[in-house]
Parts: sequence; C-alpha cells; structure tokens
Amino acid sequence: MDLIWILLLPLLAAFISALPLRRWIGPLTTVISSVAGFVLSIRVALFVSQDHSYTFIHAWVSCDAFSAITLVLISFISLMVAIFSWGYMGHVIPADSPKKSRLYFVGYNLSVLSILAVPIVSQMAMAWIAVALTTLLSAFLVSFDSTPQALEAAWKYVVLTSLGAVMALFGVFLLYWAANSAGISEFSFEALAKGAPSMSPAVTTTAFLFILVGLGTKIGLVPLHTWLPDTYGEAPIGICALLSGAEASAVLYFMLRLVPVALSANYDMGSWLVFFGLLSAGVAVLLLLQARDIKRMFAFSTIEHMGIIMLAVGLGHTEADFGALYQIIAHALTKSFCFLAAGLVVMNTGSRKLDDIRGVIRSSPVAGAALLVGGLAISGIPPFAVFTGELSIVKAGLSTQHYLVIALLAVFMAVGFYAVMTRVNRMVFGDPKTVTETKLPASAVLSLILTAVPMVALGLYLPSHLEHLLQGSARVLGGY
Amino acid sequence: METLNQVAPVWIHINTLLGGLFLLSAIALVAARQILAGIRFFVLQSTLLAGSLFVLAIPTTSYHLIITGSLVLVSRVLLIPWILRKTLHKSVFTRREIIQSFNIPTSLFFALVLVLLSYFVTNPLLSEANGVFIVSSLPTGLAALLLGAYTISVRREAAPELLGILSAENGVYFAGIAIAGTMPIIVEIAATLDVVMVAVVLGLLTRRIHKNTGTTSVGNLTSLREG
Repeated sequence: MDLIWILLLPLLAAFISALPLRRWIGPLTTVISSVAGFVLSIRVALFVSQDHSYTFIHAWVSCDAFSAITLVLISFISLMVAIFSWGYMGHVIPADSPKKSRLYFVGYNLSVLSILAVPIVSQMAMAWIAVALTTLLSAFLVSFDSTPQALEAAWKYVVLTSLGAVMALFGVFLLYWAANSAGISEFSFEALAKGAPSMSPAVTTTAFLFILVGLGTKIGLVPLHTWLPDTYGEAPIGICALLSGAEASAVLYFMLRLVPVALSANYDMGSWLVFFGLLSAGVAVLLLLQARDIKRMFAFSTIEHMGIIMLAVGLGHTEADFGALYQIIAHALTKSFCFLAAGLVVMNTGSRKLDDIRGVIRSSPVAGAALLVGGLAISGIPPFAVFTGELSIVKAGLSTQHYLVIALLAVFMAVGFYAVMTRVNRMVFGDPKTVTETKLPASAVLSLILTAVPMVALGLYLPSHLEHLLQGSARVLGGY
Repeated sequence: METLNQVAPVWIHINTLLGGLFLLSAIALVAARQILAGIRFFVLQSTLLAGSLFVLAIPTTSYHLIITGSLVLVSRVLLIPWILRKTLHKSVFTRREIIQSFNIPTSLFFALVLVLLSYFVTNPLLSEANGVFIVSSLPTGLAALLLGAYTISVRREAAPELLGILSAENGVYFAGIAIAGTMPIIVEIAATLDVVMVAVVLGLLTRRIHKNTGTTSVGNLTSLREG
C-alpha cells in the first residue's frame, strides 16, 4: 500500500495547490507531501534491503532493490527542490500574482508524480507511459517564464523527447513480440531479464536499439542532446535540479533495466553503450569549454555524467555496474546541489552570464561557498561522492582491460574538471563589478545544506543498508 | 494470435492495401503545403490505421482488437483533430506555404529512401514472423515512424512538427498492434491518453508561442546558442 500512497500524495498535493487559498498553502502542502513520500520510500527501501521484494500487484506494481534505490533518490531530490522552490519562487514571482505560484506548484507535483511512477511501475509498457508523461507534465514548468526563449526551449524539449518516446515505443512493441513468441507471459522487467536467453536475438537487439536511441534523447546522449542545454538554460532553476537529478535518473533506471536483456541477446551491445558513453562525455567536455552561462554549464556537465554512466554499464562487469549505480546516486545529488547553488548565485547577481558573475564570495558568502563546494564536488574531487563513483568505474575498467577507453575517459574527466573549476573559480573569487546585497530565502539555504549532507557523507561512508541495496541492484544489472 | 496463419487470403490483401494507403498518406504529410491539408492527411491516416485494426480483428474474432480500433477511431480520428482546430490559432490555417529545409521533390526522394530503408531494416526480423499480417504491417509502420521523424527534422514550424509526431505515433501503432496485438487493454488505454496529451500539450505550446512572438516558426533559435 505504501507504493500507492507515494503516488497519491503528490496528486493530492497538486489538487490542494490548485485551490485558490492563501499563497503559502501551495508550497507548504508540497513540502509536507514530499516529506511523507520520502519517509514512505525509505520504509519501502528498508523492507527491500532485507532481500525481500515489495509487491503490490505482481508484475505490475512492485519494487526490488534497484527500484527502491531509485525511488528514495527521486523522492529525496523532489523534497529538496520543493523546499528550495518555496523560498526561490516566492522571490521570483511577484506577490501580486498568486495564480502563477499556484500553477508552479500544481505543475511541480504532477511532474514529481510521473517521475516517481517510473520505478514503481514494473510492467514495462506502463513504465514507458510514465517516462513519456514526465516530459508532458513538465513541459509547462520549462516554459514557466513565458519568454520567447523559454517557449522555444519547451517546444524543443517536448518535440524531441516525445519523438524519442515514440521511437522507444516501437522498441517496447518489438520486445513484447519477442517475449510473447518466447512464451513469456508477464511483461515485467524481471520476467524479461530472466527469460531473455529464450527470446529471439534479432528482434531483441533491434528493440533495444530503438529504446536506446529513443530514451537516449531524453537523457541527452550525443548526438541527441541538442535540446538539453536549451531546456536547462531556460527552465526555472528548481526545475533544472528536478530534471537533472530526478527525471534523468528515472529514465536511466528504465534503460539500465533493459541492458541485461540486450546483453543476453547480443553481447556486442555493450560496446555500443561504451561508444555512445564515451562520445557523450567527450562532446560534453568540449561544450563545457565554451559555456558562457551558469545553467548551461551545469547542463553540459549532466551530459558528461550521463555518458560516464552509460560507459560504465557497457563494460558489462559487476564491479562497473556497482560503480554506475553509485554514480547515478552521486550525480543526482551533486547536480541538484549545483543547480540549487546556481539559483542562489543568480538571485544574488541577477544574471546567469558567466561574465557578469564575479566575486560572489564577497557579495554573498553563502552563495559563493555553495557554488565552490558544488563545483568541487561535481568535478570529482575527493572526498565527495562523485569522486568515489568515478574511481570505482575507472578501477573496473582497468581490471577488465579496457585501457584505451579508460585513458580517453580520464582525459575527458580532466578537461571537464579544468573547464568547470576555472569558471567556478572566476565566479567565486574574481573581482566583483558591483557588490550587491541580497537576502537569500532561508528555505533555499536550508535545502542546500540538506542536499550537501548525503553528497558529502556518501563519499566517506556507505551505510550497510545502502550497500546491500546497491549490490542487489548490481545483480539486477547483471541479469540476476 | 496463433490463428493468424490460417487467415483467408482476402483479409491479408485488404490489410496490405490499407497499409499501402497508410504509407501514401504518411508521404503526403511530408509534402503537404498547408496545415489544413496536413490535418486532413492525418485524419485519413488514422482512419486507415483503425481500418487495419478492424481487418485484423475480423478473421481472428478478437474483441480486444475491436476495442483497440475503436480507441484509435475516437482519439485519433475525432478527438485529436478537434483539439488541433481548437488550440491552433486561425492564422496558422490560412498560411499557404510551409517552410521546409528542402524543396518538395527532394523531400519526396528522401521519403522514398526512408521507405526502402525500413523494408531493409525489418527484413531480418520477418523470418521470426508468426503471423502473416506482420510481413506487411511491420515495415509499413516503421516507414511511417521514420517519415514522421524526417518531417520533424526538416520542417521549421510548430504545427507541421506536431503532425509529424502524431503521424510517427500512428506508424508505431500500425506495426505495434500487428506484432503485439495481445498487449493488455489497460496499456492501450493509457497509451491513447498519452497521445491525446501530446496533442494537447503541443497544441497549447504552439498557441502560446504564437501569442508571444506572432509566428509559429520554431527553427531559428539563435538566442539559444553558445557565445
């Protein structure tokens, strides 16, 4: 029943936020329902970590180790963004337009609902529908500012990712055909992974290619990434954190669940994942070197990390799978933190152009320190979680003798580090043009502190429950 | 769908004919010069899709497929065109020319290449085919999907891109129901709601783009570039 409550809570919160009540009711309800959802998902995860699987309707609505981790991750990030949005949107939306604030929180809760549904729904075709809905329900959040640029960005976002979803749907139909012909009666991820050896390799491979291209669009794999920087550049900054932390993780979850099916049909598929991962990471760091906008800079960094995760999964090795899963968590937490920190910086300086942001540490020590910590964490400095994840991927790559791949990856990581850190350094310590004092909303600062806790802690210490869940998930990726 | 192997040839011929017309209407969408004509081709294409589902349903006496066909009829033939007429601004319909990256004969040449490509791609899969309808429906559906994707990449205006997505989705359905006709009905209802939502969201976005900028051109995003 917990799983159903996790889905009902945001629906309820969306309904209450839509009512023409006092302005603080929308954000308050959103935060309360997010807290409740987070507690419920922790409960599910603790149950699953004892080697159970949490089933509400068999083969339709259930949770195993991998879905439980994704669920906790998504609900944590959506809680953080909800807390951040309370103060931030209060700052951005003028006091005389309560309708705009209502629209934001209704849209926010509905997008969170669709993202949470992805790991909860275990029937593959229904999970595809949840993935397709994440785009449609977040479209109006992306175009929230209603500027021509925001509208065009939202247009690109919906058209390209919906086309990707249609491509993926073709793959879903093909997989259903392959499963049905092989006598697999359930169409759940688990049944597919277990029955994969008896499915037609030709049909399964073609199906996976369509899903890879279709959903690769949604996580911004090169060359299908063109919408991503535009969307992240124009969306309200809390929404960037949600898209990059929660939505991208949910889509990755869907794709990774099918990797064991694809690898069992055709082992060479792993090389394709490595190729596209490497290509994405390489192109993304080149784009990072040209970034002139703080939000677009972090958007390119998202493409880089999606590439790294894809590459790790393509290595087809338990240790690498473990690293990839760890990296999904580390990236989602860290990138949300970076976007939230960028939100404080933009609030302080009033501009998102890198050239206009100088010496933030002097005009606002909190925003400056947050940006510095975020920059260090996302570029993979120890002791942050991203470092641990990247290190385990590199180690797994070397132990499986992928020397060339790992060498290229190391070069890309170094270039990415250089590109991010030179920019962050200038923004934080450069000479400020004008020192402006802005009072940062307390809830926005609180959300940053709360996000920083797991981001730092996971780099130093892995709780035994989480380690157990990660190992269970790595087994899922290895095809049980 | 084990019984599909003993289907009377007349149904196979009818389905192949519908498939051919379906493909032609997808190609017509690539070449359409006016939005109104584009919507009409989309309605024609959706009707042919529903027709194909009914033809598949008759020899197999499958109520499941009749429900699926009715869903297509209600959502794609009636509801979506109505949504498009309601949400798109009137001036979108009166515009005569649709801007395209290539001229129409070039586009039709590429369309032909895509159709050949989809027969080429699906050919190795057809040896797995356990039903005779799949042989014609799978490549036809994939061709319509690729043509829709092509339309999106060469058109520079909102409404034709929207029609491109809907037409691609029709193509996936044309192939999908032939290969996976026993998909649970709840999935098909949800997928139908999804495609209706695509039309609503993109229709509303087009309307807001038109309201804010006065055009529905979405291809010249010069402001969203580096530098």
